[in-house]
Amino acid sequence: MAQNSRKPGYELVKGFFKENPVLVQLLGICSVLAVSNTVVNSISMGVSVLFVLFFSSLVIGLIKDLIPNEVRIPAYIVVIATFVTVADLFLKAKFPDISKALGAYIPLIVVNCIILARQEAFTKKNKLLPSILDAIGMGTGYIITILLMGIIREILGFGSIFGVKIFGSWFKPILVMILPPGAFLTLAMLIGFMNFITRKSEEKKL
Amino acid sequence: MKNEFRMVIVLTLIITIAGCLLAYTYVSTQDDIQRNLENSMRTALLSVVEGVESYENIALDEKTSVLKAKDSNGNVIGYGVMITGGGFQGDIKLMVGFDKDASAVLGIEVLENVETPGLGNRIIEDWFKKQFEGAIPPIEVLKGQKPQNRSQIEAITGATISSKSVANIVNNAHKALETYLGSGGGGESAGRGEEEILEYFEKRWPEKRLIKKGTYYVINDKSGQSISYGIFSEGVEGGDTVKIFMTVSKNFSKIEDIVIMNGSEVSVDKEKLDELQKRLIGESLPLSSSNVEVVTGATIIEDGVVSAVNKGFEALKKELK
Repeated sequence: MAQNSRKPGYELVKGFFKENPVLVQLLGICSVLAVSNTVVNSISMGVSVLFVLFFSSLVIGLIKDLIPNEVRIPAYIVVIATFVTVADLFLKAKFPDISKALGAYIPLIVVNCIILARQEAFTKKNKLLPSILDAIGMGTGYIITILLMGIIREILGFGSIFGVKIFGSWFKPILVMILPPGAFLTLAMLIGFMNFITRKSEEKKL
Repeated sequence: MKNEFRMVIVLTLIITIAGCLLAYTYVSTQDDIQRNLENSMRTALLSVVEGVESYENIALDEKTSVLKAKDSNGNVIGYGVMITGGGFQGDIKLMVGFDKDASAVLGIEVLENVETPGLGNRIIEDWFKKQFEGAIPPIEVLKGQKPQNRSQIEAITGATISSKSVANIVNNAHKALETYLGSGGGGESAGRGEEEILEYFEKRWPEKRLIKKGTYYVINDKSGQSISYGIFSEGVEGGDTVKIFMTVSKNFSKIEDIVIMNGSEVSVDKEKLDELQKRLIGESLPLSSSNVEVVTGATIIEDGVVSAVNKGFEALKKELK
């Protein structure tokens, strides 16, 4: 993939939908499934991933030419793990409730495929600016997806949004939506919808 | 060779910088993290024990700590036990409030849980937590039946395991508190009581070692030198049995340490027992009732203790002759 010829703007927006890390590349699904049961959890997780992705791409983009090829993976992991730990400690200190709700999923960002995959597939081969734009785009794509999941699941599973009840007492929450099966169902629907749109637009082009 | 050298240098450099950054973040967030922990503990304690002005936190082990709740005069008005135990899916962390005799539960608060949302997670609902107010441990969980007495609670429909887990953790909290307060929990369980006393002793003097020799104990210091003797003893006064464990200096002249175990018939305030224990430490043997200053409100148990001490002293002398 020779992406050097593409415009910087494209590197930013491609992650939103066209190359969405979760819906198209199917990366980082674990955390999307696990913590998307409410909108607040989704946003916190999304922002944490964006933070880690951005700084990892920035630092790795800066030092990639110094790292011998044989040890690039351990070097990347150290950089990623550092930012993950910083994010984890920050949440624990400033937002203890959110930190409790996200539990082990913040430390697990270290092994979230999106982050390492972007370093291997993009940052390694591109200049600093496109790499940063790519990171922001992919992080935003992750946020869009997990937020969509969070909105759908919280409305159906709790009958609320941001913790505020939006239906009257007649509404009986669909419990399964906030349980793991609900996560799989929602993600499957979103991916199906995404594929449907992609196919439609390709048909139009033809 | 040159490349390998570079690999080592680069990795070392990256790790060093990462380490520094992490150390800095860790140090600068520790205060806030500690404060959050304190806050959540304080809020939980306030919600289970009424009228708390200050508290003292004693960590028993990694999963359990006892909080002595005090009023504005510094009197102990109750206890909070912060305890973690297993639930249906993961750990449940509770704050359990007890009255100052550690006999009844005042209330519970769920600090952390990962129970199934909508089912096991309902342990955080008020009606469920309210069932524990005034409950007498050990608490039993009933399924689909209304509770008959103050030691029973009703399970959440569809979440029996989570309900039982909470009751279990509350019961464990009660046991931990009783152990901490040094009460044996009744005469019928003398064996368990003795074990608890030994545990208590080991916690209090971690640098000493107790070695059982028949009916008495030899206490060694770190280097294995025997420094004193310990013995369990009982005394009867006015029909009440008082059990004690005491340690005596090597030359049989003084009480070095003494723990009074609450027999089932004896009901004396924990503070008065503490006071009595404190006064007895350092007293010369054998004791006579007249040279022990009376602690108001504890005369009967005091006579029992004196007779227990002297009996233990005699038994020890006989054993070691």
